[in-house]
Amino acid sequence: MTRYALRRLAWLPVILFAVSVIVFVILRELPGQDPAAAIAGQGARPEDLAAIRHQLGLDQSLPRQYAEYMKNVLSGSFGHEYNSKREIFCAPWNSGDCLFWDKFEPTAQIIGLGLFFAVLFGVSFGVISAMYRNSVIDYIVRVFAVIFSSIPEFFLLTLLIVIPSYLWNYAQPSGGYVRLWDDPMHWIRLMLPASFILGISGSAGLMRLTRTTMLEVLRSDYIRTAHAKGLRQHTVILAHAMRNAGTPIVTAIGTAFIAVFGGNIIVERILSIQGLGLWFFTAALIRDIPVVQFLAVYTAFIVVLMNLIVDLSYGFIDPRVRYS
Amino acid sequence: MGEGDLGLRYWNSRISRRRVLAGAAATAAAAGSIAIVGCGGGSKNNGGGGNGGNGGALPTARVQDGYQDGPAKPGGILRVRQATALPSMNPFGPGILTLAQGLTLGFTVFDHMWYVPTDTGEVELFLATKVEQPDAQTVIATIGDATFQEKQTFASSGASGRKIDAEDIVQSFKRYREEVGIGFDFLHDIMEDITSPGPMQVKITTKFPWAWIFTSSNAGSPLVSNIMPKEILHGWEDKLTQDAIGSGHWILAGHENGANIRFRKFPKFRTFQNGRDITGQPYLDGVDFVYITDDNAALAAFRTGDIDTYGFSGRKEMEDTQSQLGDKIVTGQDLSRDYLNLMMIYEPPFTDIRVREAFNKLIDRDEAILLLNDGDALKCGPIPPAHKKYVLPDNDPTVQDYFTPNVAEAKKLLDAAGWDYNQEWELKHSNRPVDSSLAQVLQQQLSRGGVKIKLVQEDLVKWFSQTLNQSQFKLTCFQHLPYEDPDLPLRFYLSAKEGRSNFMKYGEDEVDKAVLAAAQELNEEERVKKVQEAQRVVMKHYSPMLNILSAINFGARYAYVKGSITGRGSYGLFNRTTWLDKA
Repeated sequence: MTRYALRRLAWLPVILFAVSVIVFVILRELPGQDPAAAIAGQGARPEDLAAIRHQLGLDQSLPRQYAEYMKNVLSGSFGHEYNSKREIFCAPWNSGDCLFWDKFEPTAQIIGLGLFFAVLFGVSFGVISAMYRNSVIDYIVRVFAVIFSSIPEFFLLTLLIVIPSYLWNYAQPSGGYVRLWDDPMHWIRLMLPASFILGISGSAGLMRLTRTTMLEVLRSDYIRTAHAKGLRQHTVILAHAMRNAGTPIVTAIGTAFIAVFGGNIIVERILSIQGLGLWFFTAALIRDIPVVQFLAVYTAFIVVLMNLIVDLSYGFIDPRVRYS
Repeated sequence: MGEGDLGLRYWNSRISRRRVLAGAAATAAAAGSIAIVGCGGGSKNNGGGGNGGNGGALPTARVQDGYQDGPAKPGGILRVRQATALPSMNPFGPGILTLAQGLTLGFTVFDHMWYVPTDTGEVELFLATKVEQPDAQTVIATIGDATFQEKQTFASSGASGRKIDAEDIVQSFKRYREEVGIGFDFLHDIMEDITSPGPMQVKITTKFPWAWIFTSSNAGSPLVSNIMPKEILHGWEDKLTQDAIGSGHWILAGHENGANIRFRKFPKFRTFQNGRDITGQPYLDGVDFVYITDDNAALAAFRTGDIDTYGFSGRKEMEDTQSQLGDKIVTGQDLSRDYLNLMMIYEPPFTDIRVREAFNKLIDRDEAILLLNDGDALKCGPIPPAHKKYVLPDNDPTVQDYFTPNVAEAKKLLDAAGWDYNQEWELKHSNRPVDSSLAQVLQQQLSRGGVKIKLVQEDLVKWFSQTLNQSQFKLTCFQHLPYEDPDLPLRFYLSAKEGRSNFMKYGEDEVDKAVLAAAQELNEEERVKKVQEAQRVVMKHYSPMLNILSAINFGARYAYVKGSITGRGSYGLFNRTTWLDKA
């Protein structure tokens, strides 16, 4: 497994390099992508645009620009945001010096918490639904799953805001994200209800997947054998069935986990969180090339890494899986 | 008091309701558009007479100067909504992105020599204690004593806590002039030079007589007339992205990556204004901008008292909130200075006046008002109806003809002009909801005359920087920013000056003559007549920017918010007289 992991990791720089080149070219060459025009705005004369391009290094040849970019990356700098001039990325122990960690922290928390609740509810109710197939519990859970998979999460979040303000004169705390230790009540009031809603919304799909997979597993001979041996129900479920049903569930969770690191622009906007999703969107809109470049490569890194972790987890879940 | 999100409401109320748009793009063009708060007793209509060219009562907020609520109680922090984070605190930089921070800071951290409120059009002296105009192209201002704020960030520059002199103002103006201008602008196209004949005197000379010199579109701009210390105008960009120093009544106390901006009272703010003693102002201890991106969350925050003011999306929302909160809040409405328009490129076939007239006759402004604003707007000619001193009256024959739709007549005009009914025309618009909605209405209305329109939606930045700025359109439509005086609305019709043409690439000698005659008339009474005449000329030529409507704004504040300045345009955004009457 170690060799397999190392082999996969060896491809990581290649993939990141390819992504960085593609994004680099797209950002600079596609029509309508001129950041100088976006920055200069109306009334800009050709000489003004030329001055901005020179300032940003955009008047050099593409290979030269890329070489300069890679030189900076290899020395640890991913550039500066156009407007704030702040460093985009830095080491975690210098997190106050750059923008990335300011945006990452709230994103990871809200989406991570949401994912936690999604897994908790999705897997739990999926198992229960499978165990009590065709019972009242099963039908109730499945109806809720259909409902919550049909309703967009942003609508649920909006209801979370609107209904309490109308009925109970209550509103979520304003001002966006604050750290838990800076204002625990603010954090709890902002993050927990929203992540709970996200969890419920996200659990619907996971619940149905878990139920389907579990039903298939519970029909297996070895489960029947386990029952016949006199094992208790929860032992059969947890020690035998879950493990065999785990692979597709872990895949789904792994895919959802990418959003923890990538952000969700709609969620961030509703909750007034300056997170990664909103940052990426804003940067793309105003043609902030360094930010878009960095976040594109970062996203590729996360996707590759998460896929590797998910693939490796198969080996732990299912001993039959061997990595050649 | 002015609207809490300080000019960002223009973008945010329009775009954030249904679309997820970037913060930066949304802050990209802050403006002085403010929701209105208040009259006493929760009454919805603050009176106003029929002084616009649009018929009926003009829903203009009663003019209140901030002193109407009696002696102020000092103290307290006003909480207002901030819908988008500012990408930077630097008021310089090219293009539209710096408007947001420049204007936000312009009404708070930075002081100015004067300001011209929309209602009177008269100069209100701020730092200037006297202004003279020895000739038509010269203004000499004498400034009073004031100091810059004490800011640790700028301590090493020598500016912190220093007394202001005229050279600070001169250098500030020149620094702004180094930036890329926006359209035909004062600093680049009108101002000849700015000097300091004495340590407390500023002299501005213009290239030609310019009657609007004092207004907020010109030397009284809350952006380019920001007074900053000369020491930090160059070489301090890194610090300026995070902090600001000025001599205004608010000190920038902090922010979180451009959000949750906090202003605190500058205790050494000047004590004079327009000949009045303003010792003690601002009465508040500070203003907190509370970062709330979502409109539903903002309304919820207002309902629960987390913020003190709010700008509604429409009348229904205001009425609904009023019914819930009752006497706790004071609501009000006012006519916005922003306006919607359809713009045509001045190339064939739009160089044919018959085509332009036909398009104008196909536009049913009453219907547009109903569809876009539920009836809460007024028809708009060359200048918005909010400029009541200058706008043509309803019964003016030119106005009546201009605003009357006539599909049959439009078709005749198109036929006479040899219009190609098989050709489809792209109507480009940004992805802001107001622009998208306007485009759909226009498509529908123009189709009645057989004009085939294809809607092309573009993201806001691309539309602004390329389609509009570089005139890459045949047809486009959008909502203009609100301007505090008729100068800019009329300037859009001026032909190319020193290489800066208008968006439509339009030029008509008679229009130029009429607009410039108004702009160069220093006698106010005569200027009003010439502005009105310029409007008639523009309408007569069906100049290819057909303005459609100006919306009515609805707003509210909690009843304990006193000392609001209303009915005076953006003047209320300074919030100097605001105070909180909380038991």
